[in-house]
Amino acid sequence: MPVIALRVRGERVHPRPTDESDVCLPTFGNERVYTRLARAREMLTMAKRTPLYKRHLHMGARLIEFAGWELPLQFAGVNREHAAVREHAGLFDIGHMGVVTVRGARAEEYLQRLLTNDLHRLSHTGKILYSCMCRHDGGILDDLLVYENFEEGLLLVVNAATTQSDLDWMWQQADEMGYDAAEVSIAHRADMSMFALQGPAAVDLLQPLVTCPLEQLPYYNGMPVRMRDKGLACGRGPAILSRTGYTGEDGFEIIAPADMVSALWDRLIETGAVPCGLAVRDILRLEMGYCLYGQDIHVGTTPLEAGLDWIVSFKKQEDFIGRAALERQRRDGVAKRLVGLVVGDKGIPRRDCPIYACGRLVGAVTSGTYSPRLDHGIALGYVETVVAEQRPPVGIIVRSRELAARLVDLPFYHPAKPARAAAKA
Amino acid sequence: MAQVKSELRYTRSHEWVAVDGGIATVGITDYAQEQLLDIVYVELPAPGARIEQNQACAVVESSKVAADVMAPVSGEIIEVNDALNNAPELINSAPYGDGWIYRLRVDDLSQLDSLLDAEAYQAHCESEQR
Repeated sequence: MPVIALRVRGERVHPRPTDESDVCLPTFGNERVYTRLARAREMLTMAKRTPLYKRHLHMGARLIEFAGWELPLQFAGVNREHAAVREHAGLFDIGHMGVVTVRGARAEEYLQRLLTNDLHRLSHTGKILYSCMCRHDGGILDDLLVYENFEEGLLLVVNAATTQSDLDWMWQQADEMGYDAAEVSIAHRADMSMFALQGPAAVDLLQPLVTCPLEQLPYYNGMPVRMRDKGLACGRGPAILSRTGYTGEDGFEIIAPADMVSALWDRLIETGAVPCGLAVRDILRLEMGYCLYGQDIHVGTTPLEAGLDWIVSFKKQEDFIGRAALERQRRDGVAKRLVGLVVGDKGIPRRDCPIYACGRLVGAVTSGTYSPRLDHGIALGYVETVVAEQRPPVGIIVRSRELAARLVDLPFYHPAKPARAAAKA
Repeated sequence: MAQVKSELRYTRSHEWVAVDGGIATVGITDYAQEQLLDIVYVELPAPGARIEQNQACAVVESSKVAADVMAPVSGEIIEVNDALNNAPELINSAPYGDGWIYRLRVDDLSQLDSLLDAEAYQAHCESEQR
């Protein structure tokens, strides 16, 4: 996208140029995009591939580079994939996510000091915890899931773009906290891959293929999983299935060795699951108001600002990294808050678009897209706390035009058979 | 492989042009619509507006990106494809047919000589892919 300098009401507003690692789709009449495309092509040749890569090629997926991985952007098209997930079942290759195990006699204590949420909330075997990992100033290093009781330790699923920096940070902190290898050992499980099946038909499609009873599995719970058909040569190595996801629909995520991921993927495609790419994944998660690390949350935002106070435990005994800063912020109040915005006019808000209220610049968009369900542009963005509380009408500047928008509660969209409605623990 | 039509002329910015008498019909190419993903909004130019060659005169927008549609030659807009207001996906499904975007009366037909023919446009797309 061209980097446009806007002059709005006398103020010069510079959108932040997109990251070099973004593959830019060609715009028309902008020479700069060609250099970035060339750079992106270089990165593409060094990019990592998931076990499902060849299948994506075979299906004619459009591939892009994302966080150092070559992944499908779309298969049949965003509109068709979106309908499939909201009405039937979609398949997502999420083999780029980082799988990290933490084992040792003091693994749980270490994670209590590292993460904002309280592992004691994993009150029973199988529960999964969503948490932030913060810096000392409260800035978010990553958001992640914690699975317990995995190979006598805990398992973390972290974002692809931050896997290496997370590992470096975790090793460094374990060291600084004085743990030795027997007490805390952290390993990147590059031998494990992941995929997600999301949609109202997920249980129907997956149950014939796996032995564990899916209907009763509560939301945000996981369990070991085995293929029903022993003839499919897999079953080496541990595999976990969880009732989690990034779309708001009922569905599952599976962490397993490559051969099991591939076998299940093939079977699910045969029985009617629709393969989906990163483009529709972004729309689905944004319709639910879920944050994307690197856009809506990053080191410049705290969990309290991002509306993630519910995964920060001020009650747990352990002093976790960032606790003091977050306690101060909780006491003093946050200056900005992440809010949901719906556009009234035709137009799509984009990352870094300025937000105006009462004639003043009050914030900026962090993620924006067009929602097929709402038939309008939607966005997440940070605004001054007073704006978040009072919800005046706002204007979002998109390519020198001001689009009328309003602040709304999240999620933007309420699925008919939501993940949350699944059997409660 | 994106479709390129031999009877049309093209721009480096991925517009196609069909000329009949002094009237040019303009749209975006198959290659362009593939890159954009499903188009959800189209901002059409105003009939009667005067535009210069290489000036941005329309916008096509997908959930992923918004892109300017340039004028391949200078002229006056005489007609726009209103169907795109309710069915922007026509640009994806029929970029050279029902997905046409606007028509203009060409000021100077010799400007068409500066456009690419099908072969040159194909080569241009391939060089972008490399």
